[in-house]
Amino acid sequence: MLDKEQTLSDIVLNNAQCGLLIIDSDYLVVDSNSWFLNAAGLSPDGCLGEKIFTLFAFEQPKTLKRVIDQACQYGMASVLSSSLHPRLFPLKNRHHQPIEQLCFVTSIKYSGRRFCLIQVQDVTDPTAREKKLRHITTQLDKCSLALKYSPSSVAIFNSDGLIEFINPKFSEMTGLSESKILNMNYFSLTCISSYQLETEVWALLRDGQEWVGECLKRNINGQEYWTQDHIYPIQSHDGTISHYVAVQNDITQLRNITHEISFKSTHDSLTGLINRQEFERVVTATVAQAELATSNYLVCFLNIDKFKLINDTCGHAGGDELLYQFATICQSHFDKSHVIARLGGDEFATLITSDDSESAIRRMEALIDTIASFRFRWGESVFSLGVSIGLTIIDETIKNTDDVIKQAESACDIAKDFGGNRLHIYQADDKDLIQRQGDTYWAAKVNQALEADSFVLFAQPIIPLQQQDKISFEVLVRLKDQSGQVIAPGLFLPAAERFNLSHKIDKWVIDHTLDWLANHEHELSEIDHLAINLSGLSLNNHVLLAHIIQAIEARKIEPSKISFEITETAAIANLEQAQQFIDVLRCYGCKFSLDDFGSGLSSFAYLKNLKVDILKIDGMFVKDILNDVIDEAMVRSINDIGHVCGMKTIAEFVENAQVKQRLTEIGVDFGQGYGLGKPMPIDDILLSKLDVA
Amino acid sequence: MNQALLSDEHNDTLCELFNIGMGRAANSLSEMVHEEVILSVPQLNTVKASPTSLALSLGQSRYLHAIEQCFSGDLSGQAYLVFDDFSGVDLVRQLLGESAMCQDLGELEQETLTEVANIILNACFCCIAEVLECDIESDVPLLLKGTPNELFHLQFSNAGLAPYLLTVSMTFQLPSKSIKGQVSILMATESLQKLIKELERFSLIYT
Repeated sequence: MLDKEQTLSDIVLNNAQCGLLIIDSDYLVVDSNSWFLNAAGLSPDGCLGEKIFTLFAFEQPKTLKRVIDQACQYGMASVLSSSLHPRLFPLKNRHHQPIEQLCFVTSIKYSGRRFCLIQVQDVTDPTAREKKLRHITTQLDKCSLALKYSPSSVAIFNSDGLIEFINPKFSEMTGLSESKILNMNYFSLTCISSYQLETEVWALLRDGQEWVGECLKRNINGQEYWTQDHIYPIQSHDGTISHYVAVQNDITQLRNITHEISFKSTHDSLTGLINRQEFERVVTATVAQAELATSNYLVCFLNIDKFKLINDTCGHAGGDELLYQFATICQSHFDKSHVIARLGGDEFATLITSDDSESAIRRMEALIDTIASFRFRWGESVFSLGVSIGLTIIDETIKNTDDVIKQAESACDIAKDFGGNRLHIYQADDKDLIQRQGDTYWAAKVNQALEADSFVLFAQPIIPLQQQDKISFEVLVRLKDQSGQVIAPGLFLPAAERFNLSHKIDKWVIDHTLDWLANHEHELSEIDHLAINLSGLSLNNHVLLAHIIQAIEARKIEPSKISFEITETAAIANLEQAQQFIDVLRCYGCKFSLDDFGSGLSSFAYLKNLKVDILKIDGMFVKDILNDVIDEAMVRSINDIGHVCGMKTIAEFVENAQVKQRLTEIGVDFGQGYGLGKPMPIDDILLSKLDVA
Repeated sequence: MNQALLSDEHNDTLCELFNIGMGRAANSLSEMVHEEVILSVPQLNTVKASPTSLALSLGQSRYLHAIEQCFSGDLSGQAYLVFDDFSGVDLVRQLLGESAMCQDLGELEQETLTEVANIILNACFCCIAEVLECDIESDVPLLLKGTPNELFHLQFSNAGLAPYLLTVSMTFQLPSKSIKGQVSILMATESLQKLIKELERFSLIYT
């Protein structure tokens, strides 16, 4: 010590809670306090007058030497940080653990000399705290970065629902600044609007459970968005909950996509109506609850009449447009409580909920009228439409969805078989009949009949109305079933057409008619010709064409004894090939007539293109000719046009003598119908012609 | 203004003194961190001191770390080693080899920065005192943080009459990075005149 006597300052120095060491310019220890001696494990006598560098082994003696030099020579003060020299002196605490040090070096003047005063502070604990804090801060920084750039919005609110923290995404989603959001109620801000929902959420949260759900929200600009919310209660160590973390993810896009996908999977893209699967699902659900329900449920199967014709004539674009317009009419006809579906092609279905079945049926009948009065326009063409509807009522006998739709479909087939444009109600008791209506049933029957030769020929007279002409007959085909019952073509021909069997029937009819002609050649001088019906499919069939000529040749029959009847619609569906077919047979000597003229496209323009010999005026104009002036005018004009084109005319559906009389006056050449002669087995012609003659 | 105060010759001498000081400081730093540290001194400038001139000398910095060391004796004033924006943080991180996630200096890092500045400033003052054979004492360094205005407004009140500002721009060349800093010495006119006198005495002896 500088002075051996204990002064107050000595006492103070020796009680200081830091190390003090005085060193002279020769690096000799001049003085030190108790703290330093204790920490260094030295006795006062053991260090005074000793060179500091011999007392301690320093890691970086140069640093200490520099600061001592600067202090003793120039009066410079220095800092020796704990970060760069944590253990400058090898000091230990009472528990023999190393002490981390921060040293301040100052220059002191005493007796005209400069000395270096080193003040050593124990910073072990603060350094450890600092390092821990540093570590936590770094972790926190990472967390806040994660929160800052998180695509999810995060909010923390307290037990009153008031928001205390949000991340930038939360601000972005709500469109509100952070300062506005803080202290707002989480639930009012995020539009968990229903009080009930909010109560439910709170109940769960307060119970320590998390809540997950989807919510529709609205941002400051009024734009709606969907989020999936996860709200977690934050429990302290004693289980109390003071805060809640809410994480929201914007799922608007996801929902839209999901919605779009589910819409596409349940809807028909052309009409926007639900599709078959979805309709079946709805019907299944309805069937399941039908017993309990007080309402009546009706399923209808709708099929557009003559759709194929329009599709073939106008192309697929026209067909699609028709389907779309048809769907639109149906939609405007029913209110939203009824289900309308497109099952595929030109098949539609409805599920009607009604207090009483009668009114529902009337509604369906009204739809038929609406469709009938509708005109579909495509380019320059205008088409009238019809719809066949099969209707069935869902009752307790229904076992499954398939049954319901099948019932409606078969009822629709019956409606079609009866000529279309009508409603048929399914009845469980005519089940046998229903079964017989099935296409597959009839297709099989037709095949059987072709093999077993169980078709029979009928003929209906075509009577001259203007005296000078000979009688002709239209050959008709009938199916004789096992029981010997004769079945009209209305039942099996549509099935044959759908299963591409009609040309086989045509061939059968042609062969058998020609056989019959050949067999009775000499008895038929009074008969002008026999008219054979040809289906649309046959008109494209070159093999059949060759076969017809071959068959006539083989039997040596006068070709003019035969006429072929084709329908306007069949001819127009493939005009070019049909014309070729007609031309070949006409050149050969056969006659052609255009059947049902006026019921289809009714365009006189076709008459210029289609070279035929006879025009058959559709029965629907003829039957009311006595009462309806328009019908009469139609018949008259068709007749006139026909004559101008060089054709003979035949009126169908001549049901009585008055009609016959009027037709004669108009100048129609021939008449056909129940009033003039019913269809009869072909052999009966030989008897009946005498009557007529 | 500075032309009138410091001649080119004075300027060159001072620059040389700072160069030597920086060289020594670089040496000390290199030994401490076991990495080569080079300190370059590009230029010295003297202007009439005001908060504005100090702010100007620091460019567009928004946030500063400054280590203040007061000195007294034959020459007196305040010396600052100033790091703009995050260069102080960068320097410490480079020296301590820490990651650069956080933008704030912790307690330990502040100590480090203080010691680094202390080494540089002491080296320069020792060199001046040694060469000019004058007596300068310095206080323990102090770390200041804030915007230029916050930092220096108060300091001017203790700067004595018509203070001048002597600025020395410098660059720390570390192996991986170069970091800019500036030594600014705030001296009263009286003190600056003493410095000039000492410089002239030095010139007479050595020329």
